[in-house]
Amino acid sequence: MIDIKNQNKWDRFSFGYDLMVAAGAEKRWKPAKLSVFSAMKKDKKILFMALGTGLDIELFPPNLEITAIDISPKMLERAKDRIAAYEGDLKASIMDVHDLEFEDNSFDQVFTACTFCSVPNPVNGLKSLKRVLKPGGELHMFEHMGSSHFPMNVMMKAMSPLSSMIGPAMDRDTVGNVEKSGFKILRVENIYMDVVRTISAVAEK
Amino acid sequence: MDDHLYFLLGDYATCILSGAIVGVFSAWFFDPSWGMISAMLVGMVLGMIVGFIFPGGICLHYFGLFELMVPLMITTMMVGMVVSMAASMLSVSPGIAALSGAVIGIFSLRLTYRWNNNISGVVPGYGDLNCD
Repeated sequence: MIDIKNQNKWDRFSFGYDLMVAAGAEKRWKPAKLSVFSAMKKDKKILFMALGTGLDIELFPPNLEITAIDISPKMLERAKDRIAAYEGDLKASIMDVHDLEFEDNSFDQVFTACTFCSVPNPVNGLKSLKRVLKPGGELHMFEHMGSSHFPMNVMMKAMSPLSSMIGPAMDRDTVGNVEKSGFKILRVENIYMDVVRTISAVAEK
Repeated sequence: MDDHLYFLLGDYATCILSGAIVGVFSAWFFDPSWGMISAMLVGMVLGMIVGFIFPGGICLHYFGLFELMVPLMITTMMVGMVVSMAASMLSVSPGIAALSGAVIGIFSLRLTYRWNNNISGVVPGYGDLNCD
């Protein structure tokens, strides 16, 4: 079942999403995201979680078969042209990560980009991803999260209640959440301070 | 312009401009009728709000989110604190306030660059194992 409150929030945010991140943040994160997405392999079944307006699509390697989901119909509506322009097979559908409609053990790889700052129950969401991953399946994440360094940790915690009303939370412990949901973390890399990070993990079943 | 130079100039422009604006605002808003401690605390909060509205709101769009948000937070907080405190004790001219803010902006940015260099890369304890 779709979390309507969350869906409405992202439907509203879809209007200004590209304006907010396309020019600066996406350009700045491009090398790190390219590195994460370079792990997408041709012979694997790939799930991309939270496609949004499709800003990441141009960074996907070509000729892949990718299943993408997003909770927001309006985000996917805006992604339509980018989906059509992808040189491969990219299918997007509306789905809530807490209630994935895929069979157990369906995918070899799951990719997320700036997603688990916004999932209302991140541990349950990650458990859901683990369920649809095959044993030993890979989770590759590019995420922003809370900092462990003062004064950033205090500031981000203070800003989080406000930011999560209109968009993402700023104080998530995503590395801890990945561990709590039963993944084995292989690698964590700081892209900017300990706030923007990439995480590679495998589903141990 | 290559991306590195674009973002470098964007970082400096944002921190210098936000420091200068928050400095001028703080010098205008506070005067010796304020107590030093209350001016310092209110100045910190107001400085962050002012700096994030302008130039933060525009610069975050063009130059990146967290890479700007962190130095911007430190710049606006420090400038708000220092200039408000000074303005609560003596009269601070807009020029001096802007210059002080700009210098603190550069200092804050250099601090975050150095901080980032020290902790960037693979996180110790989380190995470097490949999926393949």
